[in-house]
Amino acid sequence: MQDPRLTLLSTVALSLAAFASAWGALLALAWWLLATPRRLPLHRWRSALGLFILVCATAVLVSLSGGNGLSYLFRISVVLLIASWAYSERSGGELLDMGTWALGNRTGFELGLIAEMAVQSLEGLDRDLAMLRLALRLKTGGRITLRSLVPALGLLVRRELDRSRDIGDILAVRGYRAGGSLCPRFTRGRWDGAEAALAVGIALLALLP
Amino acid sequence: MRAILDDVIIRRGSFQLEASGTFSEGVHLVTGPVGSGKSTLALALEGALLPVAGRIGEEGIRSRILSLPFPEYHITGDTLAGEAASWGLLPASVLKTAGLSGRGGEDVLRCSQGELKRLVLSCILAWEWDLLILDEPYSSLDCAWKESFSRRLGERREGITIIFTHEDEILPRVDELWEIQAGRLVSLGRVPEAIRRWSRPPRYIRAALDKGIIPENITPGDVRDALCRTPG
Repeated sequence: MQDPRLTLLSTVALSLAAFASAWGALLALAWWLLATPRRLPLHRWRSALGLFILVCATAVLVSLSGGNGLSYLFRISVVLLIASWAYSERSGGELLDMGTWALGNRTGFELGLIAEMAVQSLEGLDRDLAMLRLALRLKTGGRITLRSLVPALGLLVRRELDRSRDIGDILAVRGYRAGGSLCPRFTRGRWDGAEAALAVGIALLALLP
Repeated sequence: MRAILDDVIIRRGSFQLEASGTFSEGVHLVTGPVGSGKSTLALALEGALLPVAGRIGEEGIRSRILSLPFPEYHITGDTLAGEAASWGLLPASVLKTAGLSGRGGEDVLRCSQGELKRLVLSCILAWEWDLLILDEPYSSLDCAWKESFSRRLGERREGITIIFTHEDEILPRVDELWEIQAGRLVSLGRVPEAIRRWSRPPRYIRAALDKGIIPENITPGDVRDALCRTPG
């Protein structure tokens, strides 16, 4: 899917459908199989596994408290799958484009800019964590203790704050005050509209009584 | 003792780097502009990135370390003394070497990046590594520390030292020069012959080369000596 607006719409619709019921989740999974390149985030298997274990633990708690843990596990797994697809589809600048398109050159531009910088920070943090893991392996041979992690993570947070301050300084030096002028352009794939309509249809089926 | 790159191809996203050559005992300098693939090659030599083709081999290397560009990644101690101790070193002597004497109890979060860099590099250089890989070791250091660090690197007599940098002001004495040109690692050979083949030397070396002078090595002192020896 090339149009980020339709990607966002499909993501919201399918997430709601998957969260609402197991049938909704099954239809959302079918949509994922049909409309996406079906790429699992295997290159991030550690993060994916950690997240899955967390969901499994919550599902066990749901079961123990009298709920349907299996249904919860399935629904949340599909929500995560859709989120992973949406994240893999993103490209630089599209949040700024979408914000400006939706809410104009002042509020929309600013919200888009903030969202864009937040995603950049997440990507930076991702790189930092990978380097941190490598440095810990080199230094401790893989023995990671909470005591050694605290200063390392503290310094990463400081680095992130420094980075944010630098970006703020650069924007100020370049004369940024509020809003901006941007004419967003979006390209649309051949099947984008149909796929988004299908996603909205699935959401309606899952949410309507 | 050798690290061998045998028709290696490394990919990171859409970027691709090709490398062949042998790093033998001594000090090697690998240069190239920002984004040319120096860090990629450093990670591959450490084993953190696997090549998609070719082979990275080793002979006689029993210990290794990679110094990352940002010192924060290496820090696991909560104080400067704690950080030195986490490398298995006596804090007092390391802190002295790093110019941080009397500050052992200071919180690492309160230190500047330059101070942390000095400490991490001092900790790393306090050990004898068979393979020492330094990725942008000069970043965050002031000129005085760049000189001091270069001197200490020049004192390393054993093992393989590979320095990846785009430093333009102060460089250490090295044995071999390498350059990354258009996604390919190129061996320029041994110093001083290699200096004339250097396509992007630092300005102070370029100034000597423009006068037809080839210094004995690549430190600013070597270049100064070469310029002084030349009549006219």
